[in-house]
Amino acid sequence: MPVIPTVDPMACYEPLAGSHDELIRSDGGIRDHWSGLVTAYRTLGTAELTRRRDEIQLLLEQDGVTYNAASEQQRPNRAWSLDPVPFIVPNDDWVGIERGMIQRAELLDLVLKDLYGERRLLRSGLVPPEIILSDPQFVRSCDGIRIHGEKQLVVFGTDLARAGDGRWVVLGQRSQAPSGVAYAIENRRVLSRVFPQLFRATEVQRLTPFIQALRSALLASAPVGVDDPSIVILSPGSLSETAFEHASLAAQLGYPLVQGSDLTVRHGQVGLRTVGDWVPVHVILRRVDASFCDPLDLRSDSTLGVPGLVDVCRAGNVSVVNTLGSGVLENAALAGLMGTLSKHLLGSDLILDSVPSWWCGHPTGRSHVLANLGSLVVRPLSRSTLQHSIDTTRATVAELEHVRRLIVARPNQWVGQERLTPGSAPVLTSRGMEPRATVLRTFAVAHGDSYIAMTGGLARASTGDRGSAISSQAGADSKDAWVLSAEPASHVEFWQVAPDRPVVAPTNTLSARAAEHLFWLGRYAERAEATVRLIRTINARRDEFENTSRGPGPASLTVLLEALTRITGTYPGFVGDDASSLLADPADELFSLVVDERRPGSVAHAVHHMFEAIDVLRDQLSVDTWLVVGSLVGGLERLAHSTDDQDGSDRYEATAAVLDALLHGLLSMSGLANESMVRDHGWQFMEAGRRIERALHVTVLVGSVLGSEHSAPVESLLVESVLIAGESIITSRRRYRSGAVASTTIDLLFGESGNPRSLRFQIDRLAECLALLRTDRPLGSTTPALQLLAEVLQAVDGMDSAQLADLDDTGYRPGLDRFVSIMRSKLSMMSDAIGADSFTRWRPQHAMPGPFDIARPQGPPLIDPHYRLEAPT
Amino acid sequence: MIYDVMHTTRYDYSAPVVSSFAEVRQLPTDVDGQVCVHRTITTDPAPEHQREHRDYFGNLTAVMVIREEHTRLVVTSRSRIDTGGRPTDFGLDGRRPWWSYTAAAVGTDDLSAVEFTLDSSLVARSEQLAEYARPSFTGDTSLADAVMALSGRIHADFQFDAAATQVDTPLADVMEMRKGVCQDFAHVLVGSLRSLGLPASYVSGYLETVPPPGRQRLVGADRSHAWVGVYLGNGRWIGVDPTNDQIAGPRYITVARGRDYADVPPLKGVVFTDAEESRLTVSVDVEAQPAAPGPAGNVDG
Repeated sequence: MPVIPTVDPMACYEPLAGSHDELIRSDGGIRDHWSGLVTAYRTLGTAELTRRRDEIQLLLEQDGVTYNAASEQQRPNRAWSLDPVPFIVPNDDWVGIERGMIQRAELLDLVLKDLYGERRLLRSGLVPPEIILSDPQFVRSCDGIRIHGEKQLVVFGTDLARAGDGRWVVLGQRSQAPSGVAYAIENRRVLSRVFPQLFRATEVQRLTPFIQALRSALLASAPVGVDDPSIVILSPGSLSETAFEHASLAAQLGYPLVQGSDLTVRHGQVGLRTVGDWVPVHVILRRVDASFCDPLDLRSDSTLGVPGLVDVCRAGNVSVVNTLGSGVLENAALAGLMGTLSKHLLGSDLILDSVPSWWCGHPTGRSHVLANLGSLVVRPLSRSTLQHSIDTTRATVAELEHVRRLIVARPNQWVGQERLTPGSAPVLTSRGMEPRATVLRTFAVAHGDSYIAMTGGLARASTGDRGSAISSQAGADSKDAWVLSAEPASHVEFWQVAPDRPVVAPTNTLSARAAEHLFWLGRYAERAEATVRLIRTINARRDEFENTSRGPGPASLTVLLEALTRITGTYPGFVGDDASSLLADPADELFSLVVDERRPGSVAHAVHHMFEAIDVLRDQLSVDTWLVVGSLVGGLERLAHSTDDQDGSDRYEATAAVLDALLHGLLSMSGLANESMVRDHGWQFMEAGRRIERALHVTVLVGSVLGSEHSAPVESLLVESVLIAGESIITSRRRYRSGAVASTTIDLLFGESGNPRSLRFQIDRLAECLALLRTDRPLGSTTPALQLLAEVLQAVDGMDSAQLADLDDTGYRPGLDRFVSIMRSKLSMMSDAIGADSFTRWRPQHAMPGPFDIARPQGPPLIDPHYRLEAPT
Repeated sequence: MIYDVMHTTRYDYSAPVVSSFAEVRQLPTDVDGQVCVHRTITTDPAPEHQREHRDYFGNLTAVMVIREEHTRLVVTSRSRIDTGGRPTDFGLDGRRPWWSYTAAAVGTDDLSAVEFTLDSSLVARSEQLAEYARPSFTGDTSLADAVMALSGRIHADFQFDAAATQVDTPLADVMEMRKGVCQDFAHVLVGSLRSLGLPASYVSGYLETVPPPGRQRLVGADRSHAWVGVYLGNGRWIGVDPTNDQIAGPRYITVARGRDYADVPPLKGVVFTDAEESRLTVSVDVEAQPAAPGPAGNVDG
């Protein structure tokens, strides 16, 4: 074997003076628990580590792992980044972290119960009432609401870091809807795959039991008397910051991912709008900030919530986890009181200290903070305010003055916190391993009368120099946290949570929204494929007749280009006023019909809508689907942006390559749908969408290409082109040799029940889908969609291809024209009818004006209607 | 006094509404020395679901869900209230120096004192408000005298003008314009008291209107009204109406108490509709009944 020269990745590793380093002891030696890993990394070398980092990024991209950092762009999906080097937590350290985190969770649970109950902590002054009563996250309408189960704080997260002396301290606590669990699990999945040997050689505790613990906790919080609770995950939607996590959690827990408008209150109970029905929901794992959860009781401008949800909570008919009022525990001033509260409520000292902080509402706190501006971080009291934390060590004189004014104006709204530089851990950079300040987020979930911790967590390292902020929004590298087992070589689980009851997936929980997106996914996928085939057919003709300016070739090309405009609805295109110049040089228009995603009818438009549908359906579809469609979008985007510096022929070839890739991708997607998806309701909707679109397409294709008379050579070329675009050329050749004419083509593409591309075939499949879609209906009952289907079927059955191919005196095929327009309108009506029958009709939400507005006549404020996929053009 | 109150809120929409969710605070309870003899609330179309609860501030609140498609929604509340026990002045409670009633002087044990001194969504404390109030709160002036003096000044300084403000006009703008409706007057007094550290609440309710001499009382011409609760400690409040510069005595009917209007709108809700327009009609009728309590009188007047 050749010796590959490697560069020592540790060559440049210099711990930062004054702070704790995970890898190197203060005496310069490598810490014991790192020695094995360091040896392994040295053996691999920097080049190999870098290659594996790229592999990690590829795997994350393929899984569609994103973090939607807030930005002005419409689709701010940012790929998640994961450092190849894990964050190692020795077992001794972990024992302390675990105990400390659970102690904190227990303490905060007591505080939460008190704040929404007797409020003794406030009356006694132990917690200055102002801290809580002036925090918008103290949700007064949730006063007195208790969910079933001992713990009111169910899911809890802490941000931990090492102080200079190596002690672990708590930087922050998360109680609203702690995020990161699914990212941590994804990180583990990818890292253990890219470093299988290293992972096996290191005794790392598993993360996934936490999912089981979370499931148990959700089941345990179901309202009293509900034996088989139905559970959903409430997400703000696919554009939210952590949309990946919501979908991933839903998929791992096996619960439906829903949005506020999927839920509705009926008879005092929350339920999920399913296809044509409504099923009660008993537990909601909430990933929407509390104030947005109920436009009736909380923010009236929110369209992310469920009107009446708080009242259902009050009645005890649903358990929202974490409780709607739990965000108040994230109050910055409360963190500084944790030590006192621990002594008072638990009778013990804190195992994990908080970073020292001072509430400016108290005179001594205020004077301390004002005297130490320049060395503290100043945080707003409540996380819900628009204010951000201010690191005064990096502030200019003017900024310091601004902070001082803010504090003096409203002292009770600010908290000063000691600025801690988190200890560093090794991160792979282009120069090898380098130390970077790292923060560890850990999680705990309620279990009986205590909590269970996830044995691991989500570590995040600063990307730049040691002072820069560490947050996913700021683009920090994430790290997998490896908690080492106490006993090496032991594979025994330390604990395992037995499921409280067998977990049986509820039957009819396909939300109407998911059904609608699946239907449109089917339609757009088919539309993309059909358009790709047609453009490829046209391009083949262009190649063939490139140097010919007259004769049947160019004449047939003109008909095809005009048909393309009509089929895709991309007017004026090849039939408008500029048609003659476009027909003379169709390159730009064709290119636009491939790449311009803002142009309805283009390939990119259809693919973009597929991508959006898949984004919403992440919990329903396999990761492979994501992979396929993601790469299609990427290919189209690259093509769209690569044009400027390319001349026409390069662009033409690049487009041809992308069209080939698109066809492959779309075919593998339909293969996935056919081979990997259970034939459930969701599949039937997707299939129905695909069939309707294909039926429409083949109808309009034949109608617009063969609608009028042409010379025999042109007609022959057109017939052949229709058969190619309609993917039936081989059958036709086999059946009719070279004798294919308009009538045989009409037969093969419309009436032939054995041709999977024919109109008749689509109608038969649609009949099967529609029969399976609504099994809840009484036998023999009909629906508008079924009625239309019967009419379509009758028309196809009664079709006479010879009569359709007949030409009249003016050179048109009136029979074909009539048939096509009837079919087109009935198929479109059928699509609408399926929608009206099965999908929710979203109506805009408005706030009722109050009686004091009486002298101020004004219509209801318009709130954006719910996000919808647009209807076909 | 015994009053029969009927409060009707009607919404007309330009297109059908498929569902309405309403939270109604129009149900008086036994507070501020009044006794609620009976109360009902109905909607047309009838609600699919209706539930009552006490909110954080103790107000009886009805949540109603209407699922019958409608282009008109009528919410009607009816109640009979005996206000005979309502205090007509501050009494002994208001005699101490005003500063002894501040939240700082009371301490955290009485949480209401803290709660009603802090900023709320529509009423924030400010130096401007404190400055406005200070001339009435000098030395050891009693709370009663100071508050009534301030109420008198607001009444004199501010002009009642229904067109000047909107439901969300900031208090600072109201201070600038010196105009507004009862809601604004109440917010000015609440904000002034809070800016001096005194706990004060916003009270939503009704006031019996007296027709001009020689004229008949007009049914339904009354209005929702708003005034201020001044906190006396230990859960006791006295009502002061800056719009009419008087103690909110037996002619006032308390419905709900909050930090400001946003806590206690008589009706708020969410509707789902394609309608572009809606029209709101409110009518309130407060009818005094003969003093001797007897069988229910003619509620509709």
